[in-house]
Amino acid sequence: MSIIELNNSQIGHSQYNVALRDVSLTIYRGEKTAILGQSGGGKTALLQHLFHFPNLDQESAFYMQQDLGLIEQLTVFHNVYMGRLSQLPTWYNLLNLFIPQTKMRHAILPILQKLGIAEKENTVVKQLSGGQQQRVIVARALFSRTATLFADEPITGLDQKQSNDVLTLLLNSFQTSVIVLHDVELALQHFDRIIGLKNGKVYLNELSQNLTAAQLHYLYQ
Amino acid sequence: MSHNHPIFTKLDPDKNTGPYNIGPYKLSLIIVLLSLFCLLLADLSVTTINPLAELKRLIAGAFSPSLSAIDVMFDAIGKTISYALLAVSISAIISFLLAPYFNYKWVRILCTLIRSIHEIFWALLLLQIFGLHPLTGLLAITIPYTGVLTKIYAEIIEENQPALVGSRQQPHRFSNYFYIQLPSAWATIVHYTRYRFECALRSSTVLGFIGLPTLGYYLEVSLLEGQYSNVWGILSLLVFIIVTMRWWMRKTLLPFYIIGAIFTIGDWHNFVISRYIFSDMLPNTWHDQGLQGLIHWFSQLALSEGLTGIINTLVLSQVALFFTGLLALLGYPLICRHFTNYHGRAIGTLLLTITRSVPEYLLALICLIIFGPSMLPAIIALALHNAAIVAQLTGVYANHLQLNTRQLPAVENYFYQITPQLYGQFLAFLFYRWEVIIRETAILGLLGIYTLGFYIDSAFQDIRLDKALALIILTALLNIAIDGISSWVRSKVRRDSADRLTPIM
Repeated sequence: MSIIELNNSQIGHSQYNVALRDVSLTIYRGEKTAILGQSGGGKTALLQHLFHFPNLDQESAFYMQQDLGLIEQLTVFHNVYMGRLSQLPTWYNLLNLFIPQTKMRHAILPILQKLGIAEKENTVVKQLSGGQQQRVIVARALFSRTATLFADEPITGLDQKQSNDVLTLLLNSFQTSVIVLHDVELALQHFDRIIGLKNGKVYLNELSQNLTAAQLHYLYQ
Repeated sequence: MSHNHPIFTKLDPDKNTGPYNIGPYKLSLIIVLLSLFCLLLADLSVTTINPLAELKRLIAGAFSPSLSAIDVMFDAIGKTISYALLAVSISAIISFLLAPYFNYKWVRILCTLIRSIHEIFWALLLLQIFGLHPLTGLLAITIPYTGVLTKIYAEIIEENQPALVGSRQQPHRFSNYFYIQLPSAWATIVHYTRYRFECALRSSTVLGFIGLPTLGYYLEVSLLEGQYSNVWGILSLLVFIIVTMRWWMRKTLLPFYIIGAIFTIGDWHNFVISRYIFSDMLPNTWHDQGLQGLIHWFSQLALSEGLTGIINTLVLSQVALFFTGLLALLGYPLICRHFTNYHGRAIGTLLLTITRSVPEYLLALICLIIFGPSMLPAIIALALHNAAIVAQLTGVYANHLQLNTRQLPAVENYFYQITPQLYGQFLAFLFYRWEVIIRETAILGLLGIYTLGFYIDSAFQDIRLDKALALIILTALLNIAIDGISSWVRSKVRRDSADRLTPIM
């Protein structure tokens, strides 16, 4: 069943600044979709467009952006907690800001353990390395417990082993995922469907089992 | 440009520019002409028989500062700090809660209203209600400071809009505020609040002049008795407290300071409010003739004493503004890296800090003793105090300027390179102080200069609470009007300065 359907959409900041033309594509529930393409090729614009698709309101969705959106002055616990800020009551959010509740800590700690940053729970995010910050935002996404994930290059700054682990974790934790990637091999290995962008258009939209690495490398030429 | 300084956050490239643009030089010409006109109107006479002798005694006192009365003053030092600390803490908490609602009109109006009444006027008013209870001093500082802090916090937070958290639904505004906006703006907010605490130490000292048990009380007694050694001793103590603040004001110690302050501030019992106090605040005509009588009475008052007070306040503050600007332009090289080396800047910074640490009310009183009652003492006091602040801000700003050309000789550098580049910003700083100068000018009436404060003080002394309150409201209205004009002018200057400083790419 589809959750998003685009028919000949123009995607961009305004009618004079169009990043992608005539986009027609469908995102199916339960499918793992990768978006590939050169830098500046409209990947982020497409991802944001999909995230703000009106009919998505029934689905709960989480958006992981490239510049992370972490609040550097708060601890890892609080930054992860923020994944559910709009789901939990306000008084409870304020309570957790000053006194982190055991229930929430029990929910967040296992996620941090999986990502190998459990000992940083009470550290201020400003003091973490880039790779650690990347994993905090992954933790926030996992804690949000939404059905759909939209992620813009969620594994930048991680080494190969970590990239693999984090990607597997993300894909297993969300019913549906749409992820912008750079790595062709990872895309083929982990995703059901690949959307390739080239020259301001959707160049390919295919199940990954029907694709080869060579075809995908063409996107970057 | 650095965003660390509290004032810079107010003056970033403009968002709302109108169709007009005055230009900084034309604006300066208007200020100078207006000031010359006001200088003709101002009473600048020296009325003491031998001002030089008094000045000599005062300077002599500076070389033999004495803290002989320190044992009796311990209590006053404790109370001075306690009033400031508790007031700023309470203001900060209220402002945190109010700041997210600053986009509501009623919050903005309320804040403008409470901060346009000077803390001394609040204190005079509250003295009638609570007497010498700690609440008088505490509320006198807390109320206007809440108005200021709420406005500044809201502005800082508005400029710190960080990324969103990732969900499609916006979190509740309170969650959003406490988790996202407030933490992002935290460093700037702390920096500004520290600066306000410094101001509060001065305010709390000055409250001693109207009878509260703070350092100002001893300052006034020593001054009037001519014991200048004691004056300098107490003054050095105050400056010492302010200059060393960065070492003793620590986040971890703050809770202990606050608890200590609650106990040092005075006796919280004996809370009595006069039953007649609120009916005394309205004139008899209200009780007899109702609203029409009240309006008639108020307009009579506004046109007689009110008008004289307003004219004198405006004349005095205009002259003071002119000299503030002049002194600040001459003074900023003291701390500017383009003119002074490292050691010179350290001395310059100390000099400016000391000058601005002396409360302007006290400066005015000292000048009053030397020169006798006229506008002169007030002008000197206001110009020195505010010039130190504007010079500091301008100098820090100048240090951030990147020069494209090679080093010129100092005089050429000053007139051709640095000053033209920072002039728009300097004017913005100056106009920011304009509101403050007018607020302070009104207060200096308590020293016998015929500004609004003089008539307010007289009304209090005649126990005419209705008249005092009406004149305070008139002063507040004047300040609100000035506030509006000032922000309008600043927006014009800012636009120009922004253009000047960021060449079109």
